[in-house]
Amino acid sequence: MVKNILEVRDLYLYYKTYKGIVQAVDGISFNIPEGQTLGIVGESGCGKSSTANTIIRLLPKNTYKYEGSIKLNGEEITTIPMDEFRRTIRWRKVAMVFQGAMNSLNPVLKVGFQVAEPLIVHLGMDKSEALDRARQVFEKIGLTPAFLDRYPHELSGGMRQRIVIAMAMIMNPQLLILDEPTSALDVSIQAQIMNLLKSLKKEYHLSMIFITHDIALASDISDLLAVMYAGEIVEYGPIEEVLLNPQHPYAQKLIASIPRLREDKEPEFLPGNPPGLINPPKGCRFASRCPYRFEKCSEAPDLVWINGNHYVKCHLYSEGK
Amino acid sequence: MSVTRSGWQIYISSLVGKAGLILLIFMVVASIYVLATYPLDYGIRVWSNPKSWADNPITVPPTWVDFFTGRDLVTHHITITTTSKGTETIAGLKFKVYELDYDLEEDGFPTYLMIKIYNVSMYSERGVYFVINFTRPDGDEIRLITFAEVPPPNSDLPYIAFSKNEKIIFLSKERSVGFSLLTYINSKYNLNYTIDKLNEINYNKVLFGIPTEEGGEVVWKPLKGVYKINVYMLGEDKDNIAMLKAVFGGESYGFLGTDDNGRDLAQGLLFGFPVALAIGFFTSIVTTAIGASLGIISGYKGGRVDEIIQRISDVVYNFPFLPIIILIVFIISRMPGFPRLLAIFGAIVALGWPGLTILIRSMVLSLKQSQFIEAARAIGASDRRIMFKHIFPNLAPFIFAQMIFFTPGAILAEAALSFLGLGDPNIPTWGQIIEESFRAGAALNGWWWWVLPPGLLIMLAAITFVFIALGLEPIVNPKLQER
Repeated sequence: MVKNILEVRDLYLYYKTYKGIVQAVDGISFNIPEGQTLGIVGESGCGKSSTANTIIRLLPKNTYKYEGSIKLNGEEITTIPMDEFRRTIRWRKVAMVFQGAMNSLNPVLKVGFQVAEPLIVHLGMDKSEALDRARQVFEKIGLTPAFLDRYPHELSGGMRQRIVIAMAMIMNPQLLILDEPTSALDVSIQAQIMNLLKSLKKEYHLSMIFITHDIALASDISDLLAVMYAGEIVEYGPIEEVLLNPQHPYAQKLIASIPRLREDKEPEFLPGNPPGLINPPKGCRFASRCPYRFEKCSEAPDLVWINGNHYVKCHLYSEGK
Repeated sequence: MSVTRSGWQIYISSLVGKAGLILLIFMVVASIYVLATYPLDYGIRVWSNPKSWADNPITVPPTWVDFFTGRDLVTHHITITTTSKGTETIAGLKFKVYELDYDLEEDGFPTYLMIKIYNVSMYSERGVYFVINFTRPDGDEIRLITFAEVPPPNSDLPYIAFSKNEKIIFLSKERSVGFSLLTYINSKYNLNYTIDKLNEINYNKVLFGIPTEEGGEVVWKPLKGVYKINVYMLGEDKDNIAMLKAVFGGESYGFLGTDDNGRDLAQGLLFGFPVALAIGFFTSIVTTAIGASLGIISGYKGGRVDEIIQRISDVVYNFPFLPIIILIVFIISRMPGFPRLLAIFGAIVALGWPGLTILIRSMVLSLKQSQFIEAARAIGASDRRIMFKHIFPNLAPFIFAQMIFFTPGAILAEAALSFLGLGDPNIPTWGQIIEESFRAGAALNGWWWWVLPPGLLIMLAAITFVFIALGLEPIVNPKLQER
């Protein structure tokens, strides 16, 4: 049995806005075994990025509810005081590549300094020592050390993305969260970055959370897949299971919407919009768009075990159907 | 940006940028010259000390007005001698002779004639006897004045007279000179003047001129040529005059004329360069530093800190600048011993920071939402580190331009305060000089050389920094760049 690097149980993250409470992450649970990658897929605004922010505890000021249990290597990290969290967990053990990495770099600072900065902040290294380490990391991710002295605007999108990954890798974290790392890149650069991530995964036995709306991309690197819908994980399981044998009607529709080569079938699309996360519907959140809906869907479904490590949140599979 | 050019190239390619830089270099060179050659306490030791200007003519225009007046104005002239020409025996008495020459080349009268005697050593208690003769180019010798100087009783010999204060004889005002001149013109030109009539036409006209008749009236015309003042001293052989000085007052003086104390305005105005630059730079640096730091803290920290800083800036920002600053400087300058220039500096800083704070805060508010600031927070950087290592560099060009923009404001504020009489009288600043000219009624009297140059210099300083700021604007705000 492989040890779980991350165990998340009943995680909640609500925001308070002028319009009401936004239930961005609503009671999700999942595990990531060591060295494996969890892909999180779903539509825009379904809570993927909020999940990532919750794990690394980058909570906005208007956080209303932050609850649940996150165990990193068996250690509960939600109860650690903020200051200690910043010093010991964030970036040392859990690092993150942000959505739109192009903008994660400060335009007026040299990239070398930005990559090296965590070392200065966390280990109190002096600048030249930190830059030496950054140089090593640069070589590891296939950048010539000459790039250390460049400013972000002098670099292409792919290079910037590599630099942001270098910034995340410099402290040798146990878990790397990638929030849409390739969404702004063209396909060939996307492939390079994916190959880099795969080699990092293999070489350092790195555990990752890979957040994307592109299921094909997620399938390329993930071992596990979680499908999110309106703040909840509606299906979770090994990648082959979920992709080849999707159980939840949303997951089925989502996978059917991927265009296929040499198949006469038109890609399907989901009619309607996901519910707003302020006052979402009481029962199953997908019910309004679900072709299989029945009376019970007005009650909230529980997570149902399908087989092995495969769970689904749908009344279609619950006992008392 | 279609073409990437360095900031410097953008700056130097603009005409105003170049002009501003040249003017700034000029100001800096002038300041360096002043700092290298003037004593640091120049204001107290020289400028405000009447002794250092005693020889100068009062409120005379610059020498270069000759180009416009059509007649060469008499230049100011000082002749000094420290050695005796020899001895001369008159009526069996041996006199020591000192000679002072003066060549009148211009078609005018020297405005006054003054003689100064320094350190006369006497070896006998009988003292010395002086005779001052005046020889004109036409060969006439006039005995102007005679007087004796005796050591005080029981003083040690040799006694040095006129050591503390030199003996000053205003020959062109001295009454006994008047009587000598009356005798002279009576015998030479057969003119029967009264002493009052002589006072009316001025002794210097008689000393340096000849009477001509014009339309039935006597008009004195200047007599060009070499004049000699001979000082005869009767005493012991060893008795000696250390230095003799004759001052022939000019109708013009120096590069920028003199004020009503005879002060050389060119010197004072030159001293104004480093003072103006120092006031401009220091106030703008300190003001910008305070304004920008508070703006960054206010915008980044948010919440209560933000509220407090912003409300204070709102209040201070709405103070009417000049009235409040006058009040502050007035109160501070009442404190004895407190340097007034420092009070002005402090007052400008105290009222100058809020504009930038409000502006910078709004920029930080949008900056702190950006991904790279979130990324910096994620890597565990402290608030201080984020504010000054990540946010500040993004604002630095803007802050720098604001600093340059604020500089002329500070210079003008100092000038305004000085003009209102709140400046430091011991340090000549341009505003100070304008204020003195105003008090002396220079504008009414037509003493333009006292009013215009300081005004133009203040303008020049302001324009310099406005030009530089205009040249910097396209760098700070790329939208303004010409394609």
